[in-house]
Amino acid sequence: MTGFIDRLYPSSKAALVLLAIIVGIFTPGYILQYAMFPVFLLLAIMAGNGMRFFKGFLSSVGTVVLVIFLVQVFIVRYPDSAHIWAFIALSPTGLDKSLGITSRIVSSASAIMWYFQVTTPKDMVYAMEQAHLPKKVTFVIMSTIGMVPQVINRSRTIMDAQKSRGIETEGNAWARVKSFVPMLGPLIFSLIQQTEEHALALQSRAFLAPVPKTSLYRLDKHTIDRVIQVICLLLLILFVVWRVWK
Amino acid sequence: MKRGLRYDFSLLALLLIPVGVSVNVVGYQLSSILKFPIFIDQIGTLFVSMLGGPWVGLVTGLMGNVINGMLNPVAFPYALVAMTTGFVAGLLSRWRWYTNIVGAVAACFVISIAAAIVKAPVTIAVFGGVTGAGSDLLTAALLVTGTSLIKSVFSTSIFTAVASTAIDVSVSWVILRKLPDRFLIKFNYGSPYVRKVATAS
Repeated sequence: MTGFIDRLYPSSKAALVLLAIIVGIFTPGYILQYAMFPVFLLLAIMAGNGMRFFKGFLSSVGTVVLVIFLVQVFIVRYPDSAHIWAFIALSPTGLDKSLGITSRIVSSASAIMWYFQVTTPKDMVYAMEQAHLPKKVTFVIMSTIGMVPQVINRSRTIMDAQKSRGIETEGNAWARVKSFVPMLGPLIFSLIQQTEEHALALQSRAFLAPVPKTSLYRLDKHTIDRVIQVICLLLLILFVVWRVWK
Repeated sequence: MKRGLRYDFSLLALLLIPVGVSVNVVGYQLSSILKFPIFIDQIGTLFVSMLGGPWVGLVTGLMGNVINGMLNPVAFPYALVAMTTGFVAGLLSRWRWYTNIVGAVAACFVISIAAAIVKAPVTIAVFGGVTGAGSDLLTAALLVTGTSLIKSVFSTSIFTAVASTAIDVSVSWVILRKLPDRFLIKFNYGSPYVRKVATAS
């Protein structure tokens, strides 16, 4: 079962996620939206990273949802706010509104998060190449994803080096603002120097040649992918018809 | 000079985008190490916009938030803000605002106003006014004094945008001015910052 979601083509998963987001945003109420979280949790467990999904969701979306809830219910003033204590007031309108906002955040965020946890960047970029996106686009995406962790490592080295030279990282705000330049300066200079080398390397490997790129990596579309995509499209049409006619 | 999309996205400009995104991430980490109440996470976007122009700046802003959004989907709607920041900063570079200190200071204000105009509606429409950041305390304080939600969020957005953009612009500007001429000249929008003028011998 673990392999089933991994074997799905990236665009099938994307169709599923888009459908979930659109339905989540435009359906009135909040029960369906909240129900999407357990559904995606189940899908994440099926893909073998249920724990990662749950933890990531709590740490990023959890706090936001909690803060929105507290502010809407107790702090924002509505005509029906009932004063409780000091600056705190309780409002049924606020409760209703916060449920509407948070449920939509929960549904969209869990769909997006699930997608990026079960789809590797390699698969996503391969699918984009197959969909005939310009190779400059896929290159930028791939190189950005690859570069961020490397640069973070390098910045640690630079920070340690500058600290050993006695840079001020504490003190008043101005001193701390000033320390941005010696921390980021060497990083940016070395990265800019590197771009020249990268450009030469890419040109010597015929990156700018006006021919399609070939790939050693392969990912096949199965029958199940076509079925999922068609079902998602039909459901979307049904949903639009239902929302417009009602 | 013709300056279309194809001109802006030269190979070197393409290679600048990942640089900008990773500098943004490092800037974000630095601002939490240095215990700033606001996040200084657009240094890379601004730096890239200054050298690569509006469209490259826009894509850098978008990519930064997409990369963030993979781990934290809350960042996705704010891609619009980062894209505006990058685009406006790039336009100002095209109009040579950063070649002197007066223009650079004026640019801070223009960029922060543009960012706040996009940020406030996103915060209200998607999150109902608060996002769990430190600046929410300011919004909440304004709400308690009886200010309307829209006014509170907009004041907070303007305030945080001016403060963070001032730091973003000044840090990237200082670094840009220290970049050697031989690098500057290779980027499409780098020539106004070159110090030495070639003289015919």
